[in-house]
Amino acid sequence: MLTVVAIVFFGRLALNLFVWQAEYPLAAPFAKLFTSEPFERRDLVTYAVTCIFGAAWIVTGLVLEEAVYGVLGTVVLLFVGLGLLRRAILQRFPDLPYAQIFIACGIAFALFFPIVSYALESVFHLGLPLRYWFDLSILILTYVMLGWGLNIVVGLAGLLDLGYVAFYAVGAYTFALLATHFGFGFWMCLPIAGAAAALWGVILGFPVLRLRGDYLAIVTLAFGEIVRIVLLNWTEVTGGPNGIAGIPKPTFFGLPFSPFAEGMTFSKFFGVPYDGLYALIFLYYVILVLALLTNLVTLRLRRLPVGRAWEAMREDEIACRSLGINTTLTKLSAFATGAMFGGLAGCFFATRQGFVSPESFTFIESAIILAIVVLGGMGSQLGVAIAAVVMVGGFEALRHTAGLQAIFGDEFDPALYRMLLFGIAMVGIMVWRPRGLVSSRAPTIALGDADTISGDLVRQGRG
Amino acid sequence: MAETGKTRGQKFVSALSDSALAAIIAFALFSLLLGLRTVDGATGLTLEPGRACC
Repeated sequence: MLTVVAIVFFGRLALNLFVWQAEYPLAAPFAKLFTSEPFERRDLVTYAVTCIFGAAWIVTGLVLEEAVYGVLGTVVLLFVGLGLLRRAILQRFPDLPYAQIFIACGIAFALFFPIVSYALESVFHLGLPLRYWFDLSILILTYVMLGWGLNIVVGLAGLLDLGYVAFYAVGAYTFALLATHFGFGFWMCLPIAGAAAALWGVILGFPVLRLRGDYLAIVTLAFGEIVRIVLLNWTEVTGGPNGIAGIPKPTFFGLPFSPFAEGMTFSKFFGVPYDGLYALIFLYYVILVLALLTNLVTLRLRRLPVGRAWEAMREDEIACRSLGINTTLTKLSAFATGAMFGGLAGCFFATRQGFVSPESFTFIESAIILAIVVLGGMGSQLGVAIAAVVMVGGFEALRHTAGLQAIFGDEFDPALYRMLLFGIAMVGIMVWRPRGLVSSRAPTIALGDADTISGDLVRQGRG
Repeated sequence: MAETGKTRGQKFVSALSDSALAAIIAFALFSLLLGLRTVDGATGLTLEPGRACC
């Protein structure tokens, strides 16, 4: 209690004296790390002093054997170092297409990460936690795909959907029911799950055609809850709270990964010893392909008349209708397309888990997916991917914060406070970057040069 | 943010009063939690009466 009051008092006093009232605010040099303003001498002095402080903290941490000082020092040094590096690169090569380079590096990393890490582990036996890494990567990619799917509805068409998890559930249960009752495999059920979710997207779309804004949000939220409650109570079909177990894993062109499967297996076919990681690597590539497919389809659809109609409807529905665009079809197509990708992700989720239950499709899932879209910057594909990595990976990082336990005591478990930290992060983003992490937009179609504009000029999520 | 004064003394006093006000607000907000402690129960984090201090 006293700590909190002291932090507020001294923190605000320092902000008042050295930032808000100061002629030369202390925050100014650090803000320059993110701009192209020229450095002054006092900026360089501030950086030097900061680096000395950071190094001193690291040394203190090593001497006292307290991890928290080391972490603090490293964060400070990394912040200043990477900022200066960014400025230096921008100054040296001002005209490079940085966004494209970043995207290409991200895709290359996603493509080679499992193979390279598995090869390194196989050759050098480094003791890397590969199973954990692959599981986490699969989870992140699932949320990237869900974020991109919802981005069609919220970011492009401007229809605020708080019940997106319902389509995820429809996809998962479609596969689970078809697999357990009729013995269908994953690849056969994947398009069926997508089609079923798209159908439910249209079914949801019809009653909400005339709604917009808050009312639309309430109805979609209710839809998500209706689907979950039906799954929970229709025990004869869905298994109720017990869920559906024994969902088959995907096969590699008909070759199962399990060593207990009858007939030819993946290991026997390729003549390699059985390793449980093969199945995980395969699942990783399946969700990577599905996510990239979602992105590709979205990018292509944006250039088609239907995509341009979505964006026109987002900007002004009345003007859109007066131009002769059929808003009924436009809305339904947005709901159906977004839902289809949710259904595909749900089908993948079911096969990865091997078990589905209504517990996996609560409102908090919808909230997290929507938060990913909003934090990333509605309508921005890159922003949504970054936000998914930050949010899902960030939550996981909270499990490995021994440094915080040094401050708050051994009983402190940061993972328990992650919703609180999540809320603080949301407030911070809304204060400093109200249009999301990637807040600039390049027009999909332009007559002349496609100039990038600020996200403030785009009306997302107002539908 | 505190009202900025003209002289250094005025600036310091306004900064101090602003910070004191913020501290009082923080105390008022967190005073509701005095005597309680957060326990990781079966249903998530719950507040329970803390141990008697005397």
